[in-house]
Parts: sequence; structure tokens; C-alpha cells
Amino acid sequence: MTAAVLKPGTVADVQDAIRDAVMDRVPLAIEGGGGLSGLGRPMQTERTLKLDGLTGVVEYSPSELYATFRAGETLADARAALAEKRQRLPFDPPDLTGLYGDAGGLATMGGVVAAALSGPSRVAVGAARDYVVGVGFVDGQGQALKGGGRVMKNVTGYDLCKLTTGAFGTLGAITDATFKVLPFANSEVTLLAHGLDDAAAQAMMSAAFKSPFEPVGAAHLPATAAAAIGGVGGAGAVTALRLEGFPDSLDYRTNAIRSFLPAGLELTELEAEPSAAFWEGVRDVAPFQAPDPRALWRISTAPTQGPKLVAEIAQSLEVDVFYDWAGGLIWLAVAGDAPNAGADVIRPLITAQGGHGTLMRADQSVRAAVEVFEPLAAPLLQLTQGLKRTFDPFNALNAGHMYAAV
Amino acid sequence: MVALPEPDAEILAARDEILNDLKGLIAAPDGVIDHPDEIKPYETDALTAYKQTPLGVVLPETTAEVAAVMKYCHERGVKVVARGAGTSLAGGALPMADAIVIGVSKMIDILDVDYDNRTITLQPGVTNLGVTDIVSPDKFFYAPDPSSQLACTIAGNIGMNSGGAHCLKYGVTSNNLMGVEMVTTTGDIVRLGGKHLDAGGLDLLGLITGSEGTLGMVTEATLRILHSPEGARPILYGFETSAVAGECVDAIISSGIIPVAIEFMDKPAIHATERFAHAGYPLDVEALLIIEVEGSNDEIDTMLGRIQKIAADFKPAYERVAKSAAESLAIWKGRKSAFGAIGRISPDYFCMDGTIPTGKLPEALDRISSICDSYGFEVANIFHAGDGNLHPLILYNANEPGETERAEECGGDILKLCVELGGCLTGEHGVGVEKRDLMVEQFTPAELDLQRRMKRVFDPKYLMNPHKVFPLVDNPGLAGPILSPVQMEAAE
Repeated sequence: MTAAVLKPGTVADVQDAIRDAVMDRVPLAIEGGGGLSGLGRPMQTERTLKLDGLTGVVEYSPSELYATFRAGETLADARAALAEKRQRLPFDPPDLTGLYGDAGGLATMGGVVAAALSGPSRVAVGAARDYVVGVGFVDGQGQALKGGGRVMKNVTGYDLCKLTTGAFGTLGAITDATFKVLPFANSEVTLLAHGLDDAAAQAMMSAAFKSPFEPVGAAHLPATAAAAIGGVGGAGAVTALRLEGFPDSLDYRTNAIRSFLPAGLELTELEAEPSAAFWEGVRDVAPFQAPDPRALWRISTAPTQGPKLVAEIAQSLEVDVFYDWAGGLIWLAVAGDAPNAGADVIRPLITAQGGHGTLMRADQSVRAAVEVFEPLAAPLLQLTQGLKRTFDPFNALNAGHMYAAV
Repeated sequence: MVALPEPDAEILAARDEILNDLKGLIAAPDGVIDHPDEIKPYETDALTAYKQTPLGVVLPETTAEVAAVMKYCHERGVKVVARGAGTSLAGGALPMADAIVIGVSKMIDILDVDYDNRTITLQPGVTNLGVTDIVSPDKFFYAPDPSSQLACTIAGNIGMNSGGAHCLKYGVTSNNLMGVEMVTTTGDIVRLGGKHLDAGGLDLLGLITGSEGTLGMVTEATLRILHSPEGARPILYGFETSAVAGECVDAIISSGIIPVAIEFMDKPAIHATERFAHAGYPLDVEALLIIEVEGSNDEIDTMLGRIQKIAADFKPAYERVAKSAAESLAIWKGRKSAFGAIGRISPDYFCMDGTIPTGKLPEALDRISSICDSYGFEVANIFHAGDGNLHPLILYNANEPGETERAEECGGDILKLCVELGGCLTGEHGVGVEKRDLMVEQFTPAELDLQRRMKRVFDPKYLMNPHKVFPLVDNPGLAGPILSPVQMEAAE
């Protein structure tokens, strides 16, 4: 079977492609840069709608703190455009394409929205869903529609921005997205504790957030993961707290926060540049990037539950992990010989503990055999399938990419 | 006036039977209100121009009771209006004659406070300020702070996605809501989110937040709580034009400072509040800014010093730095009493709630002033300057025949202007009945159709708040969805 790749240059092209797909009864796989095609339930499609030709900045108003990008604009280019005005996407989206091969660097703004990609700052300032203030998309009938707008306070009608963020292209082909942006931090520092076990590290991170000093990142890397990121000095585990602000304020906070942390910690500091490099590694999941062949899970749970969940999983599976979001985000690699990428062990433990897990990377056969996204309770699956039918009644868009019939 | 649909005669005739059935579902003897005198407080909300007497009022205490009532209403075909404290300025809690009201006033249990995970879990009848009151002894707070926070409930905050003065830094309800337990229209109990971040599956939590009681009924909420800053103090500025005030705000934000709040008042608002609150505001300026920053005492001094340096370029006509908690209170006193103050100088007012891109403020104020002039109304403007949320207060007298209608029309013109300038109809109050018919200004027919079809996924019989958010005209309501050209072609 030869797969056709359609590369629309305009929204009208996207509409045509989707109408054709409906008329021809040939469902579409929707891609941006194509770097995340290894994520999600495998799809049987003969046509790919590749949106990486929809590039460019549609509108950017630095003083009004918003920027609109077309879906195919790369994350790297979008970051560069904002950096010219010393601004940024506050939720610091990762480029996860490095998990799947090549050199990475393929992330697009449409992909950031579709996959709801949020980085380490998510724990403090919010997620992709919180900064997408407008979205343009074409639904499964070829209608060009919009949600939200360009202002950050907007409660007019249903929040389609949040619904399309993280829908993995199952509800519409995203053609543009508007983000709330913010200025760069004046400076940053990372406080590192060395040699803590997972539980002690988590306690330290929770303690930091129980202070008035507003850390904007908190991650714990056991020895193996820490070695993969590098630049953190010496061997062994590191637990990192990131602080941002004006230099005088940073000095004060970096010292003051210590009195809130558990006693007896061995603490060092990373200055601005190495600090930024370290968090980039955490953000883009450097410890588990390709060519690491292992199956990879991304689990979100209550921060205090993170180490306990990992310990329980590790009783049955050989795993490597690191924690972001104060312990609430777990990146977990499973050794190659575990059947179903460990899903039979991991899923019930997540359910028992509360949270959700995504099988981010696994062989196609595994992703076809087990749920990739967190399984939904029956009434929620029904609502999800109902929404899918509403947006895409002919199942033309990324059919079955998230769940059966979604 | 916005039209309300004709009540269903069959339901009206069956009132006694329905209320009797509902009494069988609620344990507390006073859990179903059917006496006309006791129903009266539920006839309206803070949009007092509209009143409707509901069939009855149900006050459940548990999720199971809510589920039983919802299931019954779905099967019996009874419309449902969810109600928090009834503080909606958009008619979000306005009942219908053939609907029951489900109130959350008896659902006020605190279920869990978890500082290590920074969450609080509670029944949604707890008031907004009540949340902060519970955690403030441990120096935590709940960030969204709508003006009605003393009375308004978390249920209502979720329904309307409420904001407040401090959301420039901390976001609105949806940014601080981590999870809910919700009863669907068919009576199923579902959980979305929890103490963990983000959703598994589609972001249904994001969708139901701000859905104005049209998709389901929230029975439990898990909220993000934050450690309080060491302190906060504002600086007060007066400017000779609103344009210069706006430029000053832009310059501050561009420098990398994100204040926790930037509030703007125009001259009529300054005068009205000063007469009422005696906050010491300058009376000879066109625009007033209150800019608040947080941190330690030294950090605040340094940050305010930076702001002063930036503001100096814009030659403010007036400047006053709060040096103590008492001076902070004095500065905020005027702003916080602004609505009350306007109430003193005018028999009635409509509080509008549009959002505009912040750079459009001077143009918006000019044109709002012309619009109100053309109707012969005075207007005072209060503006959350950092995020573009504009509250023009239209002063009118409801006792003058026809004046309410004209004031509504005037407000409609202002909101159309907000949309034209690239903003939206409502920033934090919600659509309710008030702005329902203006939705066509912001959305295309296809977009409105999509949203109505989304509602039908959650509420197939269109029973929850069917008179709100979407214009009644073209409301597919109980008919089938309208087929688009592609659908028709494909169906052939």
C-alpha cells in the first residue's frame, strides 16, 4: 500500500483534504513535523495530512503578551521569534521528538497543542492547556472553526482551547494557535541536593513548595538519570530546585528557602547558564532519548505518591526513572523483556494510587495490544466517544489514535 | 430584555407530583423547598432585572442525592438549574418556571487538606473565601479572588470559571482547579483529575469548567492551594490620560516585572469611589493605576523602586507608595468598594465584562464613552489592566420606563465593540442569559452549532440550563442536529 502524503499550504487546503477524505472514505493521519508518529495507538491509514508547511508567525504583540503561530511553525523557530523580544512560552514545552529517533528538533506548535506538551515549569506556572488562549482548527467535516481568541481572560462559550489541547488531532486538524507569552526571567539559579533517595528527595521538593519562595521547577534524578544529563557535578542522585527572578531577589530566596528544607542536606548551586542547560535536559527527557530502545512511560500522580508508585512497580519490573513536577511526573523506562511494556503491572498500580499514565514509546505491536493512554471509566469513555462523533462524525481524523473509536 | 422560553405546561401541571417524588430522594426533611415564600430567594441572582419562580428547590447534602435527583429529572424530563450562592451578574443562576433549582448550600464539607501536595478537596458549596480561611492559619491561600468571594461558592466559580483581581499572576479558576467529582445529566458519578496534574484522555475538566451548569453538576472539587507570599504592597498612580497609563503598564510588563495585580479606574470611577470610601485618590487625573507586587519587605521595596523608575518616564501626575499594611489597605479600599460606591450614586447599574487586547484600552474607552453618550447614560470604567478584562458600569434608573432595556442595548453595543477590537464578550462573569443573544457576534453559526452539539453529548435531552449561553433561535434543542453539506453528500 502506498501512503499518500498531503502537504497543505493554506487552511483552505486543509479543508479540501478533509472533505476529500470524507468523500473517499479514506481516514487521515495528521502530523506536524512527524517526530511524534511513534506516540499513540497505531493507525491503519493510507493518507497523511502533514501540516509542516503551515509555517510562520501570524501575529505577535509583545506588549499585549500574545503570539499566534501557524501549526507547522517549529517550536525552535517560535522560541527564537519570542526570544528576540525577550519573551517565552511560560510552560516551557519540551521537544520530545528526540525520544523517537533522529536528532529530534522536529516539534511544531501544532504538536505542542495536540500532545499538550508542558515542561518542568508546569508544576509552578501551569500547562500548555493554561496558555493556549486561541486555537484554529478544521473539524472532521472540513469546517474551519475557532476556539478562544487572543485575550487571556475569556469565558465566552465552551473552552475549545482546553479540549483540543491534548486531543492528539482526534477532534480537528489544528491550523493555528495563540499563546499567552511572558517575559524572560531576569536570571535563574538551581539549588542541588546530592545523594538523596527518592522518598527523601520528594520530601525536600514538597518542603520547597511549602515556602513563600516560589520555586519554578523541582526534579529528582537518581544516579543513572543524573549521569545522562551531566553537568551536575560528581556521581550519584541529584535533587534540583529552580528559582527565577531579579538577581538581588534570587540571592535572597536561594538562601531563605534553605531554612524550609530538611536539615543536613548537602547543597550546591548551578548558576544561570548551567542551570538552564540542566533543565533543558530534564524538559526534553535527555536520560531516555533515542537510541535508548526501552519502552517509556510518562506517569502523572500526586507528588508524594511518586516514589511509592515507583517502588511498587520496581518490585515486578526492571525500571529506570526520574521525577519532575516535585515528584508528580514520573518518566519510567522498562527493560526490553517485560511483556506488554509492563502495562499489566503498571496500569493497575496507577489506578490504585490515582493518576494517569501514557505509554510514550513502545513497539507498534505493543501499542496495538495495550491501551496507550489512561483507560477511561465507562461513562467518561462514552462522553469522549460522543465528543469525537461531534467533531469528526465520519472518523476521518486520526481515527482510533487515542482510544477505540476516538 | 432577553426572551425566556415558554414553560412546559405538562411539567407545570405535574408540579406536586414531581416535588413529591424529589422529597423521596432527599433525606433531610427540609431538603426540598416548595413553599412560595421560601422559593422567593431563588427567583433571581445578582442580575436582578430577571426573575423566574422555579417549580421548587432541592438542597442535597451528598453526591448520591445529587445523582438520584439528576437521574430522576433526566427520566422525567424536568429541567435543572444548578445554583451556587446566586451571585452571578450574568443570570447564570436564573431559574425557569418549569425547572427545579439544585442548590449546593448544604454541601459544605471539607474532605481533605494536603499541604505536601498543595491541594484541598471539598464539597462545592464552600465559599471562595471560605477556602482561604481554612488554610490561611498555615499560611496558604486559594488564588482566584472574584469580588463576590465572601459569598460566592466554589461550585459557582467552577461553573463560570471565575477570575478576580489577582489572576494576572495566579490565573483563573480553571488554572487552579485540579479535579472534580461530577454527576452527569443521566445520574452517573464520574471523576476528572485529582491531586495529580493534567488529565488522562481528553481534557474534560477544562471543558466543564466555565460550562455554566449546562453539562453536569459538580459535587466535589480538588483545588490547588499555594503558600502565601511573605508580603504584598501596592503603588498608586494617577495619569493625565488613559493612553499614557496604558503605555506605562506595557513598559512595566515588558521589563520582566509581572505584578500580582494591575487595576485601572477612569475618572468617573475615581470620583465615585473617593466620595464613598475616602481612600485619598487624586481627583484631578483621568486614569488611576493600582499596581501590587509581592515578596519580602526588601524585595517589594526593590520591585516598587524599579516600577517607579519605569513610570517616571510617563510623567505620572500622582504617585503614592504603600509603606505599610495599613497604607496598602487604604489604597485597595477604594477599588474594592468601587461597585458599592457606584451603587450609591446611581439607582441601578449594569456591570459589563468584556475583554480587549490591552493595547486597545484608549480606543475602547473613547468609543465606550461615545456609545454611552449616544444613549444618554453615564459610565464608569474599571479595568484589570494586565489581562484586558474591562468592566464598564452603565448607570441607569430602572424606575424610568424603558430605561432598563436601553441600558441593556447600550451594554450590548459595548460588548460588540470588545469583539470588534479583538476581544470577547465575557472575561470572567460568563454568558448566562445576559449575553446569550450576543453570542452570534463572536461565533459563526457553525461554531455555535458545534457547541450546541457538544452540549447534547453531555445532556441529550437539553435539560440543564437550556435557556442560557446559546441563543434560543436556531437552538436545535430537541430536534436532530442540522446536517452540513458534507454530511448530506456523504449520507446520500
